[in-house]
Amino acid sequence: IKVNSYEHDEYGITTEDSKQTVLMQDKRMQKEKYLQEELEKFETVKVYGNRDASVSLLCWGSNKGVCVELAERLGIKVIQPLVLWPFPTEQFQSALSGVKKLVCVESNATGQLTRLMKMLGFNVDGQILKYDGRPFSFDELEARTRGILK
Amino acid sequence: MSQTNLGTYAQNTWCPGCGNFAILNAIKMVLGELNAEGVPLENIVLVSGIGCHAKIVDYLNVNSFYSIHGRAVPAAEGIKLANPDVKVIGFAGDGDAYGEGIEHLVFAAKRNIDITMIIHNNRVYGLTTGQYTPTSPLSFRGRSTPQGTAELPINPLEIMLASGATYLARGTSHGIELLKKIFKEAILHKGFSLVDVLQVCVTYFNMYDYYDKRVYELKDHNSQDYYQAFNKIREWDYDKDAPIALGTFYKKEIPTFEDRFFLKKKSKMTDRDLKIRELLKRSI
Repeated sequence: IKVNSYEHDEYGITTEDSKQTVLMQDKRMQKEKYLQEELEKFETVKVYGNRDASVSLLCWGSNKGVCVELAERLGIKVIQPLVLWPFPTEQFQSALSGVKKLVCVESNATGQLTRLMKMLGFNVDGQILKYDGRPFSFDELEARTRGILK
Repeated sequence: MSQTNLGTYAQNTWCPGCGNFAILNAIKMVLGELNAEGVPLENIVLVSGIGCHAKIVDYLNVNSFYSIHGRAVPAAEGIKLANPDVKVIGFAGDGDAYGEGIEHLVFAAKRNIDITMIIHNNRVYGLTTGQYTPTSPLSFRGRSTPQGTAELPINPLEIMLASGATYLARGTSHGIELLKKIFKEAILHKGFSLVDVLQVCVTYFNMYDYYDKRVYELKDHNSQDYYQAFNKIREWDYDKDAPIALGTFYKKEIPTFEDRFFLKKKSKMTDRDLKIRELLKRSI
């Protein structure tokens, strides 16, 4: 068995041949399709709070806790994708069912998840960003969410 | 299996006269011998980093992991821990192992994990056409230092000895018999072993004459003695002119990382461990 971090042929030996390089690259690209199929067997998008609500927060990573707590208070939904690529489109779409307003909560200045959503053709109706190096407090997130939902 | 069966169809792209050929030929002979003595070739895994040296795994028809720059050591350690029954032989350059990846080398030595590292120490970055490395001598003029470097080299064997390596040796690419001997010793040594090979880069730092005039083989040297090893390792500092000792500097058998790690896993859990586990189960 040969493992190789360089471009390599099917035996595992390094290659600089351009035709071989394209062939191997094409072969690797096909793996994404199977990875996506495999991922459908797992829970890749989590939903919390009121599943029938027409308003949902969208978050990832460590903002989940505070978002869920707030959603339970306000009677809204939270959608948290666990996998970002290959994006779990099917599971995400079913999580979105009934949602009319989607608000993305993120701890960065550029709204990275919102950008990804837009790239994939999903609409994000509002953004709550925090990038002062501190996590969201419940009170702050509540005030900002109420502000957006007004 | 004879050594000729160890080759592959990969075209060798090292420069004519490259010191890597000596390492390749020596390791081929050692692998052939080990195989003849009953070590199945499928129980050997070779690892390399990135650099001219790393092509060696393309030229050997043995399991291999061609890793990334500076990371031959962690890949080798992972393979060893996943399957302690395999012999793991890592190849790395001086830029690779003593530069970017030196922390891995220090920790592998500290753990005394049973892997072998063979360092192709040509004291220059050959693949990227001639920049200085951690072992280039003071005032070395290379692509990145046209006025000469303003810093002293490190002595890698001294760092390895201080870090806890249990087998240390040095060879040159003009001396294939010695390479064979120390490679085999290093591979059979139980614990972390490192062989620093003064492998000459004929294109960017041709040191054949320099080494030929200064090298000698260690005699009447007690490799079990830490302080004798220490003094012999410090005799030449990779910079100033001095006799350059070759052979085995240090060899000590102590329990390896795997011995301790797997013993720990197997040993029965104490009441305290069980109670902690129970508590965790309840609170999660």
